[in-house]
Amino acid sequence: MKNFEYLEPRTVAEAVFLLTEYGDEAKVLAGGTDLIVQMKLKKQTPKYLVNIKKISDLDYIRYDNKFLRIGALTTFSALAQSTMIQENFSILMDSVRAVGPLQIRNRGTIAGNLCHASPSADTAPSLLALDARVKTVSLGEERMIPIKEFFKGPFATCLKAGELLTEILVPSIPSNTGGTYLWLPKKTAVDETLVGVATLVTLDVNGVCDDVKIGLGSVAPTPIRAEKAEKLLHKKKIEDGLLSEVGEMAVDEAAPRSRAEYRAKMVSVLVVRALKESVRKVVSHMRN
Amino acid sequence: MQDYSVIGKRLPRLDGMEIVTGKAKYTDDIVLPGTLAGKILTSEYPHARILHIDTSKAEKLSGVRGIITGKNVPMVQYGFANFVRDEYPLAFDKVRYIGDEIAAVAAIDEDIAEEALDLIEVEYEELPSVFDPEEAMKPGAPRIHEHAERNICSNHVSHVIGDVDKGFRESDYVREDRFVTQNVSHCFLETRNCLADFNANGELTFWTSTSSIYLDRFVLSHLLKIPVSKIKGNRPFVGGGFGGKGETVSCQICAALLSMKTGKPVKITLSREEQFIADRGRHRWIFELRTGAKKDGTIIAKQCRAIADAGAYNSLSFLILMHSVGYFDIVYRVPNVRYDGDMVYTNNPPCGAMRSFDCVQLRLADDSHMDMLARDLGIDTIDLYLKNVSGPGDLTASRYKLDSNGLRECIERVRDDSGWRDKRGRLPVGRGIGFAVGASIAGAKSSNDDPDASSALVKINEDGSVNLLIAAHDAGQGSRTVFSQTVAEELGIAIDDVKVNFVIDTDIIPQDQGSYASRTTIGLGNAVLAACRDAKRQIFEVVADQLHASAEDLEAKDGVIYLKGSPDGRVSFKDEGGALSLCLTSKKVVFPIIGRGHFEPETEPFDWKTGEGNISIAYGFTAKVAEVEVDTETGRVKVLNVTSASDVGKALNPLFLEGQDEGAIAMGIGQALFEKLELDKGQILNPSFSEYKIPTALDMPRTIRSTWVETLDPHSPFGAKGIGEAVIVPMPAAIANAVYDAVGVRINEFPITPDKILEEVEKKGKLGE
Repeated sequence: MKNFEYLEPRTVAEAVFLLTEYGDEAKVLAGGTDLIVQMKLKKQTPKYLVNIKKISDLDYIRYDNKFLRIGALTTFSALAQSTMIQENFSILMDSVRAVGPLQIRNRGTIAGNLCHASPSADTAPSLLALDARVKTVSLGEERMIPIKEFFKGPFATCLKAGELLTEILVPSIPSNTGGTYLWLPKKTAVDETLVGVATLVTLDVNGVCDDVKIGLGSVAPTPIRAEKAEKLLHKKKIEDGLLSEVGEMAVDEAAPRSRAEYRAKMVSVLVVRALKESVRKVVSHMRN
Repeated sequence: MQDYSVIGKRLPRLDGMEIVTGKAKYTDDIVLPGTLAGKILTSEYPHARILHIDTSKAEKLSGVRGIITGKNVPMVQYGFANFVRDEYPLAFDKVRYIGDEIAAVAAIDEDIAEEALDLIEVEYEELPSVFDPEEAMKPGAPRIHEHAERNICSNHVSHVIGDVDKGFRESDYVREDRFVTQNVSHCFLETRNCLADFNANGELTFWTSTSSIYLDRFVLSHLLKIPVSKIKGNRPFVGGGFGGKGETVSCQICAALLSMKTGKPVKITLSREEQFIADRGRHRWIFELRTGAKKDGTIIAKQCRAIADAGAYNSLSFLILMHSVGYFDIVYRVPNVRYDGDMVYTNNPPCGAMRSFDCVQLRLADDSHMDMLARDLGIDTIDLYLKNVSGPGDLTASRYKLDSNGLRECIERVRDDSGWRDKRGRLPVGRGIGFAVGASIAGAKSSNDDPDASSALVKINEDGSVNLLIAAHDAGQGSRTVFSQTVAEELGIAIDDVKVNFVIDTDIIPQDQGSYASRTTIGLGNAVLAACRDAKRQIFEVVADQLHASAEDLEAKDGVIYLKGSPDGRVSFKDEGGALSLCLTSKKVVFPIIGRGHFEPETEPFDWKTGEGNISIAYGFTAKVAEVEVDTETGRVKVLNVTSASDVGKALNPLFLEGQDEGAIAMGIGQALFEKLELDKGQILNPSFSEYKIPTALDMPRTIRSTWVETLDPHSPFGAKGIGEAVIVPMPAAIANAVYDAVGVRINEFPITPDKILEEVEKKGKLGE
């Protein structure tokens, strides 16, 4: 590991000041589960490491029936233990549980997961399907960025130098809606995600699809929405024939690189499975 | 069967608490004042001549204390067996793989040592390279070692029994298959390391994570020209070995050389990436198999053409080829056998010994092949094995003497315990059940230039407790605990009164060759038993005097030494005050009783051209049935349950046997489904645990049923045989056969990945037909 200067701001303002001061030479440390590994491998060699873990008011999960707000320092384990998220945002809970082994969930943060911007970040497809947005703070400015615009490429986001992600906001889910995140690991049961698919389906009383969102992970330079596939379902009744068409359309929208043929096939398999599971959830909820 | 008080009991490990609480000290935990950090510079080219090495810039770097290159190290080759020694501690003329060690630096910390490596300038002349063993054997292929024509390591091996061609002509049916296996790494948690301290008196002390501290000391003495009397080796706790720590390697030698150069202690601990490159794991084998059988399943002839990629140096490759010959026919009775094998040098990283000495790859191929043969013949696979299985007392085609052999019982037991009859061919599409067998040596034999001795000391303390001093290279097997059980049983005392050394210190602890070849149970076991009997003889002499009886009439049990058949004539091992009454109350002077034990197997002839000869004292056997579920849309395989039965001779401690079996099942699942060292022109593409994946707890089957067949081997203490290697052997093939049973496709290039399964399923068209 290369030498670096270690900084420990106590407030968001202080952190933003340091990040502005040191610009590209600074890196934000939260859980460190990605960054420290990268630094050990010398793939990241920051001169300044800004540890934000000592900032007291960034670790929270709040829900006011309009927005779920997650502070930047919230760990996956904290999310996994939230019955509120389980009850109201089960699609996000699926994603949280897909992350790493327990040790990683204990340290890793959801905001770090997004900022690292790995194409395979497990929380991204669900947050895309949920139309989440992120709040950032920089010197004298706050931004609200839709998650769809956040990722710019593999391991690249739209965050500017001196800008700190402080909160993730998720709008509440309408009634008659079911969501699911399904994933396949690269090899073993606890492994990086090879393909991740999140689907969120809203049905009307006749079982016709009012709204659907499909988020794909690990099959393109960034996590993406499969919007053409979504359109195929709009105002349609979800049936097997249509589902396989939707699966194929999602494959067209994906652009996997390694193991491309297999990944493409899996996009279709998982999209169909996730949609079926989401519909099953809505229907069983309607019956209750 | 004899009734034992301690042997056969489920006793926990003596050192378990220390390990799980993190208190156990490993080599890297040992800190000497002023220790320098060592780092090794390795080749970036797969094959190149070294024209010039310039260390001047690195030497000027502040904090650097010493640098060595091939020019500074003794020009002595080392490696297994004198006729295939092909390695120097640091390359001096040529590098033969990406990772070949070139120079080593000692500095005040690891960062500076690493920086110094970057400052060493090496001028290379690139040479043509070859990465495929079949290509490497062709005329005109680049020659990697001067001595090896067509890159064949040592010699071609040809083992022929009977008349194979005639056998195939007389067969009703002949099947042929080709299989290719993958390179697999040991993945022990503790990487290889060495702390070396050379002092002003010319004495070398070293600490290292090893399976054989005495072999390390021997190699260091041989290379560094320091007499054995001036080298002290220490083996603290070891975090796994699996066969990968039995060979002395460059990092150990470099630590010693750097300490000699700087006069300071030097520690080298390989990083995970360095470990993957230097690892010397399983070979990539190509097997072409041919079997001829009668309609009723009687096997008439078996033939194998085997080619393996040794990598750039021999390591233990040639010896592994020798074992492969014997493992081809150990499980059958077949009149006509032919095995042709070559170990071939390439510019890939060298391979070496790993749990089962590559029997796992051979049986993966052959048990897959036999499963297909059984299906072709319309015979149940297990019935096919039972018709041809080897038995006790057999002399195999490769001249292995199977004095004890419970393979038939293992097969019958897994068939019955797994519900095979109800499940085979009757499970729904996507579910399948598969069977395979395994065998392994259980102990090595001595040869003329390679003795295989073990020794033990049993010291009786003044309070009646006992110190057992042994070089048990326990890396998780539990051998220290098992040998405490041995002492307790033989002397008739409680296991709590036996203390076994944790550290193996070559100044104090009597010799043992190490833990490889599943040899500890029999080799060291016999030495421990002999030491106990020697101690007991001395004790009985004292007691006999006291009781006015003859030593032959005495027996020891439950802490008491007594006259057989006479309840009055007894002396307790400990008196009320805890002192050894037999010493103190004797009219003789108090004297320490030390029992000495020694064991060396008899030497038997072995033919290096044919691979024929009785290579081991005993042989372990095992059979396994695996049930799997294959997701027919994703191709992912989940192992649901495993049923296992192994001929262990005698179960000394079933708890440890279960541990061995469960570990082997995990490792076997990795070999079958996940693990592969990805190589591109000699470069390892996945040298980390985030990319080279071993099974996690979630990949393990929900149910494992491990049972033991006790055949009481005549050469062994209590009849027990080492089983650590045999137990892994059938696991990958059982999975491969279960996958076929589930979805009807056969993957001939391992591992069996979801991509390959889906591709084959698609090729095959409709499922389940």
